[in-house]
Amino acid sequence: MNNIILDKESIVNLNISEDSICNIDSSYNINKLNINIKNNAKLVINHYSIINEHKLDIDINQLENTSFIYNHSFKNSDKYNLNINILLKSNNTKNNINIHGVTDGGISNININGKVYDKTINNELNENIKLLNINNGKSNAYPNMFIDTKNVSANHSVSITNINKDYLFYLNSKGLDKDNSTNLIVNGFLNGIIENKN
Amino acid sequence: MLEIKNLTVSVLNKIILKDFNLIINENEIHALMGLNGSGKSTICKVLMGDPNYKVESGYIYYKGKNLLELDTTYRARMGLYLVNQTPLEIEGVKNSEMLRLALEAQTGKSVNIFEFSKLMNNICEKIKVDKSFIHRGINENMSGGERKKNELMHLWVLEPDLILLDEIDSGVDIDNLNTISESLKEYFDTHSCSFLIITHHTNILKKLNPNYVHIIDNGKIIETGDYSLAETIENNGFNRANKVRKNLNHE
Repeated sequence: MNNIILDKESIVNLNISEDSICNIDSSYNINKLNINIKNNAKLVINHYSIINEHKLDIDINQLENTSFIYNHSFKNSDKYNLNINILLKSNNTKNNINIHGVTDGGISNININGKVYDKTINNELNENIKLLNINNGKSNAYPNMFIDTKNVSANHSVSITNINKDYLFYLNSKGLDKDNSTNLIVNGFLNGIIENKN
Repeated sequence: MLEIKNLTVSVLNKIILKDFNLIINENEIHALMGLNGSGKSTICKVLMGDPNYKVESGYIYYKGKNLLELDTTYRARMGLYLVNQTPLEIEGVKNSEMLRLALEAQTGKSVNIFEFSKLMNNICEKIKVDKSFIHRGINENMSGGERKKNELMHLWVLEPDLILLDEIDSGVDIDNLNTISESLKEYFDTHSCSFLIITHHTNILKKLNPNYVHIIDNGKIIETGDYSLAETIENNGFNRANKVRKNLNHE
């Protein structure tokens, strides 16, 4: 796989014509990411970020026989607006969006709009969002799907939870205090998506 | 080591344990048997300080301290250890990371990473698990038997003094059960510690040879004996065993 290193600009255009992987961390300050995946290419993006106040728009356009996986984990302590727009106009495309986010005292708004066009076949669209609120954080998630064909596999899921008290009790019963236990749970939740989805 | 006196416990306003009494001394193995819903698991949860269980009356002393005044973290650092019937899976939290932090919290010293790694490797060999367990998420994607062995790995690292085993034999195949039993026996023989084993079967008790076997019914211990009591229960069931014992008493 081709390893892509992005420019550290606020607007980034990615035109993918061969199988590629791209890792994005907190050192990037991208506001707009335009992705075009050409025929028969695959792209995996692993995006890990610590956020104070940020807005990110991602537009994805996939052509025939393409695959896109976006694994995004974030910890937001202020305001985060993420908008992802997916357009599947061709056939035999796979699109998987996996988001794990921790909202630590701030507010996170996650919008995904996936559109699968009429007369297309064998497309796959998955939008999975898991958000964890700590310290009175608030999260909103909208995994929208606009499907104009019957020949498609489309799934979406959202969970927004607080720290699981059973997890806390379990870690406390190993001798860890509340702060250490919470940190372990949060970091495990954030790292899990990148490790599991690779 | 542990004294439970007249303990009454409720969950969601329902009394589960009623005037429950039990004393466990150092280097003793106790087994607790009883029908489903008789209160066996409750005693483990209460000892560990599960906030879902409300102590209505009575007291628990452990190593001379009133356990009910201490939080779960402190209880664990004092050497209490619980292996749950169905150990939890925690996504992304690695065994090594959790155990290193727990050891540092227990000893107040930073852990030497090389010694820790050597310790973990030795334990994996001892309990016959792949070394990849060290860096796996806690019980993540593990079978029932693997989860019990994973908890056994934690036990060997943390070296607690009073070990509460809530149906450690459930969901475990015979080979893994033998490994677990032998490992627990080795732990008991090499540490100053005590076990409270909750079980429905004699398999694990055969290996560990408990000093006392207690029968719990309706939240209370109704009979105490030795290993032969467990065999009577296994062969006859609780109801029939009651009748057999009553007939023997009449004769």
